[in-house]
Amino acid sequence: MNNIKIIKTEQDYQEALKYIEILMATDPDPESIEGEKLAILSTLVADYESREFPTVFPSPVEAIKFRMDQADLKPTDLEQYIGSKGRVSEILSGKRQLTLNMVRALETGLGIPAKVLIQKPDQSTKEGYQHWDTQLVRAMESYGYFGNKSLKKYSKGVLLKQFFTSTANNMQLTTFFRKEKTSYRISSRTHKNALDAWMIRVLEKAKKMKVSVVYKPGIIDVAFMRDLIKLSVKENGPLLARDQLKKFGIKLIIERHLPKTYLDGATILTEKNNPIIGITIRYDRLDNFWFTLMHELAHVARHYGQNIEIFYDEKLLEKSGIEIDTKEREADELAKESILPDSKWEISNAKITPTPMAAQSLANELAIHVAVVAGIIRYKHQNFFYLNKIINDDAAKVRKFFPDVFKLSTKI
Amino acid sequence: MTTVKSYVPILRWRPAEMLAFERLYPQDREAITPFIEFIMPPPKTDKDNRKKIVEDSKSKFLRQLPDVGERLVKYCRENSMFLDVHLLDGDIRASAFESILSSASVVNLFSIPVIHIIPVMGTDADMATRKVAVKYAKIGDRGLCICIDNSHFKDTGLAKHVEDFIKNHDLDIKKVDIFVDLQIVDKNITTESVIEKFSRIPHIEDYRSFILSGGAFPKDLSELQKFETHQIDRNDWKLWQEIINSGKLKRNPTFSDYTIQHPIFYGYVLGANTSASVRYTNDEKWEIFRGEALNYVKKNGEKGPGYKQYLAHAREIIKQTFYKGADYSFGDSEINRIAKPNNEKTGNPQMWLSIGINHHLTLVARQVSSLREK
Repeated sequence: MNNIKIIKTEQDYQEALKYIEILMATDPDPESIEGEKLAILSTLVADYESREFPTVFPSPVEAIKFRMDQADLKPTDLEQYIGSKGRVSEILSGKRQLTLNMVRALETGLGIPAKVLIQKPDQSTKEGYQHWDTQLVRAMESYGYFGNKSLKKYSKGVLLKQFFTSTANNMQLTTFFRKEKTSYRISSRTHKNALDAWMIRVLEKAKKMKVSVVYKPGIIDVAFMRDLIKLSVKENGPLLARDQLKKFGIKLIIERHLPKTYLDGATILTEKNNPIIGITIRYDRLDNFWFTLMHELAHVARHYGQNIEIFYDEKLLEKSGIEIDTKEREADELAKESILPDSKWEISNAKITPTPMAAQSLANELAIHVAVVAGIIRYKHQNFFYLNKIINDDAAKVRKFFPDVFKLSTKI
Repeated sequence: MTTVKSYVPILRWRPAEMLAFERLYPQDREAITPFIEFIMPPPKTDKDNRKKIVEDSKSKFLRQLPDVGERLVKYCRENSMFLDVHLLDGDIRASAFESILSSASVVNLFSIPVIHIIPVMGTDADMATRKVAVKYAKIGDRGLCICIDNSHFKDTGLAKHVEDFIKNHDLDIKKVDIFVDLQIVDKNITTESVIEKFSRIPHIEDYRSFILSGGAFPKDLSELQKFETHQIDRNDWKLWQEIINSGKLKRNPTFSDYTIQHPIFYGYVLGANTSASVRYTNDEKWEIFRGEALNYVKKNGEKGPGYKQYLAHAREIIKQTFYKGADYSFGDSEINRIAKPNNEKTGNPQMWLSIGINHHLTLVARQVSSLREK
């Protein structure tokens, strides 16, 4: 028991954790010396954690989402406490604050303490970060967000605070926190923290990409997009698309999505001269990549220089149930029109019989990859079992073109 | 003179099959001796309630029977054909057999019959049917066909029964055909097992003809995913080729199949919601365009594409490399006509079955002829 001491520093803390792990592996009798050591160390660790990581409540929205996860509730289940479907969506996406009546109903109905629901924690403190979802932070670590620093040596709070502050300082991300300039097409279950982290990561990568051309508004139209998507038939189409966009001053960044999100892509219009498109390739499929790219390009074409500077887009080309606004509808329409014009769709055999042959005929006519056409056909029929073989064919994979993005630096 | 051609497809007595044969190009029809399997017709049902029967199957058959001979002549013209009635109801089988055999006759200016109907008789046929078969076998040189199916091979005395039958009825073996029906031919049936079966039939080289039949087409398409195209191996065709290429037989059998139908006839399902599917025979496989049920209604009450699926199928088929072209057969010309951009006439399941069978008969007749020329 000689080496047990009061924990004063982060190093003491980490050493104590390691020692506890060793002792627990031997499963000691509580009455034995080893058992007593374990009990004392556990008390000391708990004491240190209570001093260093004081209890900070999760945000009201996180508390509600946590309760939903626990009780397997859907957003519709919250309507009895919060109100209409739209109101629930606004609360969960953080667009609207809880009212006193809602707080009372949620406390009574779901057992979430009112003191949690009424407080407004500052997420940008180390204590706030400590409450981030562990799976999410582990994924960030694994994807290289923290460089060489790891959760073995640092707490979540430390790593996240460093990640946000250093990146934000470097990049002067004034608009990053300007939520009114951000458009969220996201699931009510998505953790916005994860979106913010992902966006910072994309901006970091974009900063490293040197583009000498200044983007000229108006250059992207449906004809430009149709030409671009014809690259889908090329073996390395996604890479060619990235190069092509660079020539027009648009940065295309590939960054995998984080857990607790369903992000397919985002358009970031904060850089004056160079719009940034981030794509996650959430599904390793050509249709997912190309539709997302067309959708984000449509945002650049239609919404550049307007009031919104960041568009987050989740669950594109899916039966998602996410409510979308006019701008999102415009982007969807332009993306669809660039891939499969209505004039072609209306007279196509695929509209009647969505067979692989009909999809192939349409793809040949449009001179784009059959998997991309198949994705749109499934969406138009609202049946995502159709054309599965084409969609999931090995030849229709995309991540292989971006090995650096999809390798893991550590196991999750 | 009654001769058996190089291809003997089994056609069931239904308009789709018979029209498919009637519309063959003359040179293809010349290469075929159809084996017509009579079946009971579907009962007549109420127009507004397809499950309500207004005339049962037997009554309907008996009502139509007087015209059968004439229709048979119309469909088959001056061709020899096999006539099999074993699927008819037992109480009317023999009488219907006699009625058809007696009425389906055409003679030329010199009163010589130009149509030769060969009665078919299974080794397990009832006495009355045997009697009719033997009676008509001896008229002219039409002879008789003995059908041996898989189950008959279990009979260890099969060879003796066949020989005794020919001897007891004073039939000339040179006017008797042996028709071996394997029925379902799956990929597990080996050449050796079939050749072993043949070895149990003595004097095989003495018979007028020796035919091997079977079918590999599935019972229905329900297990195939809709809105997909599927390929099914023509195992019957492959097996026959392996057998004739084995060099182990004194006499090679003539090819017979069930075209694009399942070998076993299970009867009718009243009110069945048929899918808009197309069966197109390729050299070694069947190409299946599996559509959705014609009367499909989605959960939200919205109707499915229905008959229009046939237009889409036709328009896709003509783009495929396996499509033989509009001039290939009547069936292919129909597909090409339906595929025309301005055409809105879709056809119906019977018409598409007929198209598929006509194409199949043409293709197989030419495949067999081509092998014979080699």
